[in-house]
Amino acid sequence: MNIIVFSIISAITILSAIGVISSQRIMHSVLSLAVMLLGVAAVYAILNAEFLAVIQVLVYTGGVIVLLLFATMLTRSDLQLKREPSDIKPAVAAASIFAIGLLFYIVGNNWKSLKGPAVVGSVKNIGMLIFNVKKDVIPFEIISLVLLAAMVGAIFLGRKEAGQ
Amino acid sequence: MIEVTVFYYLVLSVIIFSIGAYGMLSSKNGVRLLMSIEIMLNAVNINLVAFSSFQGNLTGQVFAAFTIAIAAAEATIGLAILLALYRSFGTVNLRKISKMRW
Repeated sequence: MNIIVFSIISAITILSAIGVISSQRIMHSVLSLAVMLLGVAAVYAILNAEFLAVIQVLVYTGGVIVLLLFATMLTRSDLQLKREPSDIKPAVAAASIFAIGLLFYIVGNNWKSLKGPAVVGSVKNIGMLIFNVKKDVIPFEIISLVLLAAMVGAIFLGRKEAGQ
Repeated sequence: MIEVTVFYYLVLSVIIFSIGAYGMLSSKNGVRLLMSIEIMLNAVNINLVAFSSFQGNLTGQVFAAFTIAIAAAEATIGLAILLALYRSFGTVNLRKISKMRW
């Protein structure tokens, strides 16, 4: 894969991820998150994971972003965005220690033996795995139960209490 | 031309995950906390898809699809909880929400 394409896509993704956590208005954060999720979809596309790229755009930018926009509009959340130094310092310390540790591990290993992208994640190939009784069909069914439980739970939590 | 190996994807994933971890630990706003969690889940997905694609084994991509489903469920429940909190407390500032019942 061309390194220029990869650099452009990862720069867009990282910058919009920074925009999510640093913009002053929560609505701008949500829109940055949409750009970041599209960048991740582009990363999937250059990794030959076609099915996941489509699913990412459908589920995240189609579903999750709309949910977040609703939550932003239903809650008055622009009022408490100033971070105190007492909030920032431990978070910076924890995140940077984590990042440095992982980067040491990644740089210390030799990844040359992995050549790629070596496989195409088309709908057919993924479907052969998901609907294969010997492979992943049971996790797939459990995921559908989880989604049903999440739907029932969201309706239960979101309904108005009697008398409100 | 430099070849893009799995190393680059791992570094990208670490950077995005750390940004998400910083946002999750430092934000006061509940909606932004949920967005940071989504960022972290996406970083993990990049890792899974990169290894799956470079090793020629599609199971990682199936796992990434499951992670996307779990993330959607988590966002739904999290936002429902936030709306319930907003109805009770009138704010989504996580530093102000400290009572379990009253």
